[in-house]
Amino acid sequence: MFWTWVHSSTGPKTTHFWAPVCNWFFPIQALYDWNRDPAKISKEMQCVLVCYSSLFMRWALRISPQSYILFCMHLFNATLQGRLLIKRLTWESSQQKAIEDKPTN
Amino acid sequence: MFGIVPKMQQYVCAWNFWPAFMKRFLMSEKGPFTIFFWTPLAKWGISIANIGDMRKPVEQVNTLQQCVIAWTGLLFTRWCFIITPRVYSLVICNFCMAQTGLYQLYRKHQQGKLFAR
Repeated sequence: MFWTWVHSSTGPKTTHFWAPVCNWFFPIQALYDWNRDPAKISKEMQCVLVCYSSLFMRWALRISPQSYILFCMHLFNATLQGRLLIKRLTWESSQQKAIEDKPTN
Repeated sequence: MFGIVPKMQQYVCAWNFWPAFMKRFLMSEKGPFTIFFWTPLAKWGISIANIGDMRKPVEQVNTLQQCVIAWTGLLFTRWCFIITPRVYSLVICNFCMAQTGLYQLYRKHQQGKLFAR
């Protein structure tokens, strides 16, 4: 059964298998960058990735057949990339606050 | 899910001034009131965000993220050719995503910061 799957038209010898697997690298990248310096996070890219994953979560449930694995992948991605976005926004607002609180000579 | 979007669609399509082609577009099953319209735009958003990030210093460019964007872009370009129906707009979208990712990695490599964290 295993070898039937390996040689099948959607098995690991085809792009049909590896393309969705590669999609998982997005949330894995977000996990790897758990402690990334917020000065080095791109706000626009994080916003786009959160929107992208949110829309694709809905898409994964509306296509036929539904793909729950794709749904989970985009759910993780939206959450993890969103975490990096919030980290950046919090850092920016603390920087802004530090500039405003700085005593003027 | 809550039936909001179909109600919005009915409300907007009830306006009298739409020409026939516009009404057909608004009511279609891949129109702007469905998810199938917005998902390719979201994918274009990644390329556009990357192009916008080309003005930023390379320290703000995430090497691993760009590697993932370039690799998934290339693989999905190939995937778009083997699925039916073949959607060439998706081919171009994924190809652009891969190209912008590769260019960002090239920028980092030029400044010797490809592996800098």
